[in-house]
Amino acid sequence: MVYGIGNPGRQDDGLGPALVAELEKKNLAGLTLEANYQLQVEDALLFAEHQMVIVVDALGKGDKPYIFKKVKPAKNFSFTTHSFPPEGVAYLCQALYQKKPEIYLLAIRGYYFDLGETISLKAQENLREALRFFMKILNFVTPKGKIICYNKCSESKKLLNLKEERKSNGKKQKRSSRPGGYPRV
Amino acid sequence: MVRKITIEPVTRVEGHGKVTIHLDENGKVAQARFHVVEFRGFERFVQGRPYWEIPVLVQRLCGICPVSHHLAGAKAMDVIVGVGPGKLTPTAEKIRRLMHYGQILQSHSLHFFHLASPDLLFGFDADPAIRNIIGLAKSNKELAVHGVILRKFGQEIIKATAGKKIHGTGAIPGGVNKSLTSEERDYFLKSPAPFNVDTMIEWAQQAIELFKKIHRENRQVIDNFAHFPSNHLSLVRKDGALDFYHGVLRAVDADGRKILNDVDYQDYLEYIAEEVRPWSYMKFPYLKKLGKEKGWYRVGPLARLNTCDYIPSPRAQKEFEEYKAYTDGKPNNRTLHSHWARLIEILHAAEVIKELLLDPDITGGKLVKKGRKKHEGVGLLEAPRGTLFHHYRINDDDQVIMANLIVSTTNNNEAYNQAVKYVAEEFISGKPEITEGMLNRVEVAIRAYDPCLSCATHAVGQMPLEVDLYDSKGQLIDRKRK
Repeated sequence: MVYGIGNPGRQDDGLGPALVAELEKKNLAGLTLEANYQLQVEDALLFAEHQMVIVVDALGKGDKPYIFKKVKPAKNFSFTTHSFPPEGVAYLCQALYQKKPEIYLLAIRGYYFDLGETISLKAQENLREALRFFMKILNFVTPKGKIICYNKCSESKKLLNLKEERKSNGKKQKRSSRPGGYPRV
Repeated sequence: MVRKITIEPVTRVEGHGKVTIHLDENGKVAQARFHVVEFRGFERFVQGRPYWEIPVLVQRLCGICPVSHHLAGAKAMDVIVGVGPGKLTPTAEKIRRLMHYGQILQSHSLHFFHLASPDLLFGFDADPAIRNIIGLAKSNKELAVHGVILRKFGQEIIKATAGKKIHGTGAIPGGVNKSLTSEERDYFLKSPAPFNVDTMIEWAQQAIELFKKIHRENRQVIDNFAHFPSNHLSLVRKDGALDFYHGVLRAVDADGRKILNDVDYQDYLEYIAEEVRPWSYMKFPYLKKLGKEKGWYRVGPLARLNTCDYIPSPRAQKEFEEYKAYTDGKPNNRTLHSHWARLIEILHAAEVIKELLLDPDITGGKLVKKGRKKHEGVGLLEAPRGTLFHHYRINDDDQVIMANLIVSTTNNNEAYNQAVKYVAEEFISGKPEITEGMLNRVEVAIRAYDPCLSCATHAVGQMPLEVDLYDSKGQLIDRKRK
């Protein structure tokens, strides 16, 4: 599942839903697409129904056009209902439904967050780059919803820090052949 | 070399809560304020747009209650297209009500299970790491699951009536663009438990029982925390019944005397004005009849159960009678009782959803009406957090030339300040620093209202709560942030 979050009425904050809109045009099989203004507690149930979830959000700072990282369950919490991070959803997913989907965050750099319906030109460039990266990553998703790194996909290798993951697993992962068709992510 | 990358995605809601407390020379609280950095740009943003875009555009104000803005905007546009209140087709009126009551159900459930129940179950001094929905999931999984499913049920109702989660298009000027199919209706009525409306009614009832149990065990704290007199304002149905979607404006004082006696909200400017204070970007609405000093009021669940005469659904009415009996029929001014009121409203919303789903009009085909166009319209409804005002004027080219929005959070502005003042005087006065316990209590007071910061503010970044303590010379002596 790809879940874009953000407010399209706040300029670059709409980057998440915009990426989902681009994916809708591609009509990719096996891919659930969702978009909403923000994550909420009931998304734990939705996440639990999928093997892999990529949350796409806008990024407020940094010098990279996008960042991709694995989300680990954490007890992150705010004093208001108006903010709920992916780590919190991941935690609830595990605590309430005993499910541990692979959750990743694709955060696309935005620059303007005032009222307005247009994504800035610079952020649109970042969106295109993030989309290209996403399509590349999608090619290396296993049927179980894990991302296998290819040498060709150096970005994912670097960003996912898979070397460490392999070490922690205690064994070296084999290069996976490209799955036939897209798994349900 | 290990390089740590910190990722800070833009939070969905842009804003933060900031509290400042000033002490006098004796270390007593001289002033306590809740600041919200408001951005009123939305009213300008919609100027020049064709009026029919309003119901979709205004949803962008908030990710938590887009449906409330969608419907309030649509109600104002109904007036503009000459199909004002009460003139919609029965199907359109009932589909909108279904959407709105679904919104109340999901938003209130989120508030109670996500914010309030952890405070009530674990106590105000519990570790903040467990005093939240995540702690609840660990210690009371069943309750947390109820919260998630109730919320999901409300969201699905919204999806079925509004079309989608972002930019729902269900309500249009003069009506709606879809009704329910019989399959959609049966999905909510007849799905296997737990995902059906009867289970939602049962769970809502159970949540009330839980609150009453906690109340019995912690009566002193729940009754006295941030208990202060105020006026209360809300819509009520013309016969005085609780109604979230439509009615007349009623306000009562702390003793239950009527200040506004069931007036037409199209004329709200005759009765309500907004004061600007130099230290806050958010305005302070007040009842003109009582003036700036005494005319402030509360909105939301507590206010609604103080203004209405009865609740038009059997189980919620029974609970309402018990609730009212606790204060001998007088208005309830206890801040934490707003959670009790909210739970009764969840039950009522679930009952009304069932009633609407069983109504044949809900699958009807007459969706839109047209009338004689006007150049001005006001749309009001009871959003989960309180009364929501949308007011627009258009020109001959159908473009919006004026918009004025008073959101629930703005209506409650003074109430936040009063609640924070209570906490400051009770727990911080005479203390040299802010302790964790004090900070928690400030948080509890604000949580009782769950201000909708995205409606009222805009500041990109994380969403902390910050409390600053100043001495009599204006020097910052302590700051706590969480």
